[in-house]
Amino acid sequence: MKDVKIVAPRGDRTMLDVVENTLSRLEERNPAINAFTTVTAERARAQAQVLDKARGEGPALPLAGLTFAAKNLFDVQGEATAAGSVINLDLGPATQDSEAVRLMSEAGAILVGMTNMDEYAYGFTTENTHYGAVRNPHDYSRTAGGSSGGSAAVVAAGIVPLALGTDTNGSIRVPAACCGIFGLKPTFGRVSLNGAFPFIDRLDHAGPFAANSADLTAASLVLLGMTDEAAAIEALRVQLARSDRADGGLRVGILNGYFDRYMDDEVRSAFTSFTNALGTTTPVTLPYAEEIRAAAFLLTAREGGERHESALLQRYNDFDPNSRDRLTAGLLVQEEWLDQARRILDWARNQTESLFAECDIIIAPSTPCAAPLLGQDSMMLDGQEVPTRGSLGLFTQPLTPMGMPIVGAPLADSGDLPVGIQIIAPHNGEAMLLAFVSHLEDRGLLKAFGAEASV
Amino acid sequence: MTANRDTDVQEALRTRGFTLSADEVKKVEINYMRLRSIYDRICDWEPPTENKAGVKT
Repeated sequence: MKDVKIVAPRGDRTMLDVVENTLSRLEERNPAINAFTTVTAERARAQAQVLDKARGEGPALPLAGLTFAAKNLFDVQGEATAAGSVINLDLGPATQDSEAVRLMSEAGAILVGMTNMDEYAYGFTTENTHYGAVRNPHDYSRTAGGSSGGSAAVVAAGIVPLALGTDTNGSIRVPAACCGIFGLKPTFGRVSLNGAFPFIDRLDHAGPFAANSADLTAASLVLLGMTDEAAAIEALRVQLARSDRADGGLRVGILNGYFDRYMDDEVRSAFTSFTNALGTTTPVTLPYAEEIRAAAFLLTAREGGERHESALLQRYNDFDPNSRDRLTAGLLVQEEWLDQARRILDWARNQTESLFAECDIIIAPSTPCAAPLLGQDSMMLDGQEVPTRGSLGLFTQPLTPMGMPIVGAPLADSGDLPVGIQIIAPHNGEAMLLAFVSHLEDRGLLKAFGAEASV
Repeated sequence: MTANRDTDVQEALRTRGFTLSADEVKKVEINYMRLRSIYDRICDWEPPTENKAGVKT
């Protein structure tokens, strides 16, 4: 599906037209990718009619005319929040929208459905036993990444221009890379998780997916409460464009060591082409990246297990086996292990200042390989056979605990499959980060995979 | 110090109230062993005094 087109309202089209067109695309394309778990058609039509009636009145809404989907862990009023499970269906319909869905809706975006995910967000491949695997829109035999795989896939398939996801260990950046689109993991704590089913309190983030930097920026500003800064970001982008350098004159560092070692040939080739084009060769080191990842792994296992212990005891066989065995093992993580993990994560959180001492922006690959085949249990990295599912987070997991804003972005120059990078800014540096991403897209270095047209 | 090698996964699960089949315990044990090996990699970690993140010249 390489001729993806994102359809946005133009001219005199009504919001209801936009919704009906979106629902038609959903009906046509979703069966092949299995990305939606719930379609909110009536809600979408009702909101469209309200917006059409109000057309021309009041201030312009920043996301007017855009439809979106939400990972099925964000509460949507009147719908059950499955969080990829069947157990949570017993909780019944949500009584109100989650904060992120509310913000998007109030900004004019129209929700058309909720998306498939790894059960309780514990995975990187969205191979969900209850709801089936999400298939990559660019190659149906491959994973869309996870755990927000459904949200990434519906954007990559051109069904909706925007989707909401969450990222605990890489669950926005990994699927963005596998599906060849953009996604923002914001600064920790900056986007509300109210009404989102939690995974790991210390690591959870909510953020948007989009097929281009303009939509990513628009949705990000809404979620961050920064819509007043749109003009300032545009001014920054223009300023970057005035530079005769591809890097816009910013000091851009490239994470080396651990991040260099585990790229496979396909990712390395695309990543090297990108850094050569950027003209950036400044190496930056994150010491103990492997240890930070290990600490995040242990914390996730233990706290994830504790969150679901009661349900595991009562309804063991109702869990997805892909998450159940790991959550249960996590309960056995000892206090001493957890204490050590927390020491490392506390230390890592304090490294951002030195990491950015001589850089404005830092770049790293998003995944060690392009999207693996569904059901692929292992792969070779750095001469070793490693488990596929956990290893997709090799490059995202060490960065999440540091809390920095990171855009997962698709390289324009990749092979037969998308390759993504992480573009990282200091804490609360979203404005510069989004302007820089837009600049790189303008320069032709970033582009949604297979995109022919954008909003 | 490496992880405690003596944890009996079946007993630990039973203590927490789980009544799992041998096959189910085995699957948990595989994952537990993986977590233990991950802890072994960080058990001796100490925060560095000077090895800060950043550009290396």
